[in-house]
Amino acid sequence: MSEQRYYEDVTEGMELPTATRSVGTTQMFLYSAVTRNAHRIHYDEKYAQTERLPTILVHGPLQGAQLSAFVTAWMGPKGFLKKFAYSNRGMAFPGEPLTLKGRVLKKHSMDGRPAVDLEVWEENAKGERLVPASATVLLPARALT
Amino acid sequence: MKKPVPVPTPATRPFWNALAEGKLRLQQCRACSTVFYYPRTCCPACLSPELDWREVAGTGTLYTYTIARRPTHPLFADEVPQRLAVVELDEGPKLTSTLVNLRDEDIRIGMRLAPVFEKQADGRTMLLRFQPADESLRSDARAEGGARQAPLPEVSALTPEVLAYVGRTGEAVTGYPVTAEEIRRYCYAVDDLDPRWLDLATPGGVSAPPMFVSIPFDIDRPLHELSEDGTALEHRGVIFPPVTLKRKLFGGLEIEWFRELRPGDVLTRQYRVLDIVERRGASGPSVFVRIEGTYCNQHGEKVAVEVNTIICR
Repeated sequence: MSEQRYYEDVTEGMELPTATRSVGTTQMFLYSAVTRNAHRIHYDEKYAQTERLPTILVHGPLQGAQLSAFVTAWMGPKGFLKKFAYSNRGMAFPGEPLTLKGRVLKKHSMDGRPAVDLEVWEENAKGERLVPASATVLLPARALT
Repeated sequence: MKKPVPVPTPATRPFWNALAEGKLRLQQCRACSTVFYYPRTCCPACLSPELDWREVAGTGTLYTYTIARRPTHPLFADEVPQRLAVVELDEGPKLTSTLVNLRDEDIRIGMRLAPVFEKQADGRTMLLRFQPADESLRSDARAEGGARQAPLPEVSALTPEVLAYVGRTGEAVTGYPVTAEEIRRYCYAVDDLDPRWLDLATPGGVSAPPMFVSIPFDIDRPLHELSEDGTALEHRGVIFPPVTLKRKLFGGLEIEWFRELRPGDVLTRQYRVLDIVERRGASGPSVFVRIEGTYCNQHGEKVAVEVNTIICR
């Protein structure tokens, strides 16, 4: 599905193709089930309001998983996600448009393997970075294959 | 090149974190009450691993000193002449430090000393120095500009019971075998349809997406054990300090992976409390707890290490 990306094809500063996502209540239901997370703020609107939330909340780790999938799709099947870090800075609500973006910060070598550092993030329609993240991926090099 | 600064380890982190707040904390043995320095994982007097962190005033007397006029390393050339000193704290332990804010001719063995917390050029690290307790012996009032003296008289959420959790590990918990079916359910829920996780004809077989590592563990609890908000109060292997601030927020996650996870693998996870730090903001105090989780497979090979940050307010 995703094409293989090689170390030589990457330049510092290059941007990742932007992706749009919207997490609806169906996906939230599936994610709660698969992670066996019964936290009511993710499916029970009346309960969420008792915790002073405007409505139910998209799971923070689901946003993290979407961003890591954004990176693994970009690097291609022979890439290896070495490091990933994210934090949830703002709330996301069901159905709101979310945009995944990223760019290449640095090319380097990690334990002798070609590596690329990325900055990626998820933002809402107002352009607020809800989930800032960083990743290091190991990529194959044409010269070595 | 920059001047090196101390690198905290799990055993020394509470000491450096306390300095960063302008406080001095020493370890005390719960079994024999010995107070000691430098930080260790067991008591030097009775070898008990049951240790607490205790805040002390930091006052003491000068045990011995020397004046170094040649730098031990070119990066420290700006610090000579250095008044290297061994200070005997009122609680008993001796520690090596530097005397500041006094004239060489006023140094006397046995003189009373007070702590000075000196912020380093990196803007984070605080080093412990000493100055005369007698203000009339202090050479330069300006030197106190960068130095904070007495700790703020505030109640810290970092009680000895909370700090004793730094470095503690939870029970290692083994999960259940990874299956292609559960990987597929997970990928559908995340909406990640990459064939390397889903297509069983992939050469070498499917692997699990990186974030799947936390999934194949039994976390289910009987319905009556779930609290009002639907979450379980405790899980096996989870370790968390008894912070009195009740609201817990998920602050973020960092993960590093070492090898792929495939169907048939069985993971074992162990948590360890890495760090507990208090920060005071406009909205009151917050406690940041960093918990490390290490995942190994059935061959004992490391698969991933994660660090969760949990914010208590």
